Amino acid sequence: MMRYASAALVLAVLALCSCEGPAGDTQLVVDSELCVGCGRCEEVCPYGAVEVVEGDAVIDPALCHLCLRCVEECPKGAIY
Amino acid sequence: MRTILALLAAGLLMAAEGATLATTLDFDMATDSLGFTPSRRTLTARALLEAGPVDFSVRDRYVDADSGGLVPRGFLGRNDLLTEARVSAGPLQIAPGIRLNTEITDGLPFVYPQAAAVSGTASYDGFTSPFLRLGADLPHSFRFEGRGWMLTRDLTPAEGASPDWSATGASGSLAWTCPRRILTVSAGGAMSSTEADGIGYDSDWSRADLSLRLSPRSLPARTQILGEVRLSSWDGQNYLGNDLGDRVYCGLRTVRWLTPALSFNLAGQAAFDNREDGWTAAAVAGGARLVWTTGRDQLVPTSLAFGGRYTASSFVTSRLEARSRVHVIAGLAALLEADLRLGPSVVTGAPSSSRSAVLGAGLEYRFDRNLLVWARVENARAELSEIQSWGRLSMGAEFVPAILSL
Repeated sequence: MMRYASAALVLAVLALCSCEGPAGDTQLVVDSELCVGCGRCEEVCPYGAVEVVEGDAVIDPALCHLCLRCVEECPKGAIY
Repeated sequence: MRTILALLAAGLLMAAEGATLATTLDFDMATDSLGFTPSRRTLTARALLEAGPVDFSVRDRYVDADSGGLVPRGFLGRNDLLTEARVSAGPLQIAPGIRLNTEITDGLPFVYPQAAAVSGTASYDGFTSPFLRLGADLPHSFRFEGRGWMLTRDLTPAEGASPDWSATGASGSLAWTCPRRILTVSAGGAMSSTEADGIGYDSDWSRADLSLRLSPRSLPARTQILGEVRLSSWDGQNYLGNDLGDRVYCGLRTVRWLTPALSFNLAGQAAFDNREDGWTAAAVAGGARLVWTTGRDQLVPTSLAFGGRYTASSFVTSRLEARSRVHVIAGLAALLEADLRLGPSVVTGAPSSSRSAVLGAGLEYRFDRNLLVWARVENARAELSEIQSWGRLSMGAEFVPAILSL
């Protein structure tokens, strides 16, 4: 089964490499398995775009200006 | 605040008999060689009162933080109070609550959205957000969950009219789980509306989701797999006024216990967006982690963990980390940590992809199950506008009193 997971990962990377790449205003992803709801992202967002709801960071896609402060601040690397 | 106290009093009265009260208190602080003043202090208190079909929870978190001069984020001191009452009536759960966020210092500036008619900043004073959660266990393994909320932001502009910022939103889902919990199919959605008449800002978006989660049971021994595919159809615009693209998200996580003490985790995610120019890969992430744990039945198990993670979207992050907690004697454990990161930095003059390394060592002591104290010394080195190196001392305590029967 590990082989399937590895293959899926490789396919995903290849899929990204085969495209031109995401646009600069592409929505961020929050990995809910890694997010511990510490609220550091919410603290540093100057646009009020992040809120921790029931233990997970939730990013408002209309308010997020992709300043990436939350990405830099997240101690778990859960936002990308 | 009066409403919260009244709710608290009502909860306590209802819990006159047969209730239990669980509480926790966490405290941590850090100081560094950049400022030699407390660079961060956090105090979190939680209480959960359970009385039959009624629960009442309070969480209060106070944080004050200073970047210590390294990152120009300024100083903030915030108190965040979250209270929620949960009432269960048969298969139904109703949970009204409120969140009060209060800025105690001048705080960080709140930047007006780019799409607003007025540009500028305001002083962030906090927000008030009442909410209502609903849940229902329906026949044939269906479950409904919903949440509605309102938010009013307190902002004081440096000049001009008050932004008069308010927002409302709702989300909900209906999920079906097959009897052996191998498969969960869920359909739902969310919407949000934000208005700030004082600065000419109005934004709405909505989303419809369809997701499928798979957790096969017929696997080799000591193996777990969780797969997820989610399709989200968006209606709305981002901060540049571009349409939010529909997204397909795929995720796969596996855990394999090589021995009872040694586990290997592998995870991968990919997101694809449908925008004006068709479907494009928006983000991928992959990570692996090896964890060895022994003495699980002891008060302080010994554990070693090595992991790495890579993400690529419109920017790249990568991370390698090693963490160990080694049982020394009684409740004492030695901590050793190393963390190497590559990622974006907002520091002026820093490379777009900045590298940093943190090495740390410390001690922690656990007094039974009720109290844990720890202290840690770290050396950090980061590639910012110049190579910066600094030391950091952090310490904290986690107190979990015994559950009280009232």
